[in-house]
Amino acid sequence: MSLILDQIAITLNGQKLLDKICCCVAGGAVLSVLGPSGCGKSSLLNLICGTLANSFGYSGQVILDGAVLNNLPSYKRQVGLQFQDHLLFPHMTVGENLAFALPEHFKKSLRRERVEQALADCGMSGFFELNPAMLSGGQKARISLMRTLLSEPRALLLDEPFSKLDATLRSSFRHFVFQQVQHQGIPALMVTHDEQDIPDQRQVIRLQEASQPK
Amino acid sequence: MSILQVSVRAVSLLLALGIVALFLFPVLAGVGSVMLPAFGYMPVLGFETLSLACWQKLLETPALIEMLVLSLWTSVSSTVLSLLLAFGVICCTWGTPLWHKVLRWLAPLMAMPHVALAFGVMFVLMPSGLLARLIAVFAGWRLPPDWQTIQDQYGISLILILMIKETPFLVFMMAASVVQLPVADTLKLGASLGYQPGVIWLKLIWPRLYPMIRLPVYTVLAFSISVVDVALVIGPANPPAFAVQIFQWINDPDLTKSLLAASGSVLLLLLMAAVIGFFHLTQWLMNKRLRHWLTNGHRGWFSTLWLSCSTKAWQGLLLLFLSGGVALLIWSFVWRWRFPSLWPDWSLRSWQRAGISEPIVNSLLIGVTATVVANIISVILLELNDLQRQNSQSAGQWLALLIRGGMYIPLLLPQMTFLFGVQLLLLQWGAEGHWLTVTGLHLLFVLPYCFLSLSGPWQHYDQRHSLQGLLLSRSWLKTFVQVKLGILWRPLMASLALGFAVSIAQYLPTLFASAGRVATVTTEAVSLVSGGNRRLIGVYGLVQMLLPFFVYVMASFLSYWTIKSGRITRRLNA
Repeated sequence: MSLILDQIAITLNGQKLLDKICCCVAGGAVLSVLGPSGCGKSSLLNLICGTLANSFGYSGQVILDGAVLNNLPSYKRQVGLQFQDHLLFPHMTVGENLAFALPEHFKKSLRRERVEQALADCGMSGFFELNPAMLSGGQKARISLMRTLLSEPRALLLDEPFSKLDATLRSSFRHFVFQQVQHQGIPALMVTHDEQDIPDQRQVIRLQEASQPK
Repeated sequence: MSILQVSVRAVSLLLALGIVALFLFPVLAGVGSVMLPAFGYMPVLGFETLSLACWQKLLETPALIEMLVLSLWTSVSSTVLSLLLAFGVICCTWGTPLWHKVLRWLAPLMAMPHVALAFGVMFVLMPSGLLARLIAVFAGWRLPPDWQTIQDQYGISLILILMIKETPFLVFMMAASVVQLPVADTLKLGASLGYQPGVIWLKLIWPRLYPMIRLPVYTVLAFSISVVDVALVIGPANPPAFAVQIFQWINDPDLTKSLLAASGSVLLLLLMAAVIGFFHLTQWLMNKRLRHWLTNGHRGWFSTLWLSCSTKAWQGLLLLFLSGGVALLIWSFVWRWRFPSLWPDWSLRSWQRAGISEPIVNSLLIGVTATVVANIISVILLELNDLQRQNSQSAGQWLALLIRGGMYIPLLLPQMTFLFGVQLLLLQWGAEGHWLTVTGLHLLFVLPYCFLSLSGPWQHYDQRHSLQGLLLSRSWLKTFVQVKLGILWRPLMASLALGFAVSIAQYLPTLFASAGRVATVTTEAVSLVSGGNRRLIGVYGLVQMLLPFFVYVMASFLSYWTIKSGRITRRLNA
């Protein structure tokens, strides 16, 4: 599995936001995109997952496993997205949040089993019936990531996933995320503005405000 | 907390509660005073013992079941269809350029009185209406078709009118609520999990949105079940909706029918309570039973179909709304218009003979007074609530909840029930027949709408602006008028326009409080239905439609002009 960004350029109102980004992320690897606010990091993520607003212009191609994603609607891209706000659905229990992400082909009997297994994987067995509001910040983060992974994405986008966690949680959750990416063998692209979050210094794109990458 | 703070808090709380109690008094007294006649006690008519005889008489009424079923059918189906359509419109347009167009259309759509809309749509859909004339050109008809497109026995035309009128209101309430949810991120997240937009709205946003709009939905339900004016114009006549039957009993020369009307009003109240209970139960059951559906993983093939159906239905309703306005305009200038001709003979005779100046003056007088008073009271209540909130967040929230609940009560009760009671009280006090009494009764409906439309902007107002103004001007009044009202000027003008539109549309409150002595455009328009003079109906319908529209345009112009010309900032600098 690989995610390729081929000559990606993004403009806003005629002004260049990103200019000709080229990179390839292999399965299990994490590419970090680093830069200050307003440099176009989130726009890049929106472009990859197909939710870039019409006011933006872009050129180049997003290629996932050899297929060009550009013309696919966002729900057909199979690109998982992890927000800094964990966005657990408050009208569902923890288990239902996870079951929501499971693909349709899982039969009713298997769904519960698969969710229980996912809860066990993130050290939260017995949390199925709990209301998400009762979880701590770290637990919410883990459930949110597991939910994204349960949808069987072919690539993972992480939008400043650690920024709302305190130092201790941040370190353990970072470890958990990278472990899961490796375990699933999918390419991941992480937007951050913290150097400490970067897992591999060889896989970094550094952006400057509304300019080209270094 | 200092003694001064505590006393300010207590006084503001008492004042707010006092205003709400004063507002609710006629409503609760109205319900109360209909209860005794409902059980046979009405000393004025010589009935001085409580009995169940009038209930027995009520149950023996011919076609009672049919009337009740018709009321249930028209109210529930129009509410559910409006709800589906309004939600569909929100789903299709949210986050697109169309969203702002929909929001722009809402105010004029809501400003259109029900009766004017009913007249307009009647002129389009009736067998010799605009639609039939257009079809006749291609079909070669020489006579109007034998269709029952209005006043049909199943109430379809009534459902259609209620739907056109209530959908914009529900869209408005949903638009105000949906901004409190993380819709953009939820849509992105849902799409990244493979869900289509329509399914994301249904599975992720609707379960959180519905509890926020539950009360407005119930007000729509209450209105539909007790509507009289629209039902008289376009609803079935034999048997009519139950509210219309009660209205006929009230107006019956045989005064003993008043007891029957009182029992009927209580039955209508029970029916309303049962329908709300049914809605509540359905929601609870759906919450229980549809949990599996939420998590079954279906990403949705029907999403696109549902969204496109909603868009088409919304466009259709807009078209019907516009063509209704055009039909009213045409009929008000018609001298003779034979079927199937597309072009009438024109005349100004209907306008000359309409005698509409007195109803217009009365409508303006009552509408403007009720709207101004309602807005002043709303602002006072909101300010008292803000004061309470500044002292204690939780106390402020409780008071807000209480005021909001109080405002919904007259909207949630069937008009017929408590207005009949109010009429009985006014009769006893000899207070009926004055324009001030009519204005007071209008206030019961204008105030809730003004309060609800202002409470959102008041809640989102950043108090730091006032603090800054207070530090600079050192005058509470100056800060309030020049800073707070200056910032909230636009919603205030919108609330004035909405309040006036609500007042213009009132039929039953005007009729019950005026005892036929204060004629407004709406009461005159409805009374024309029995005569069937389409030209006069066109004149009255058009005026009824244009009055709130002019006020809406004036309010928009005032808010634009005041801000654009910098009058508020100039005053600030003075």
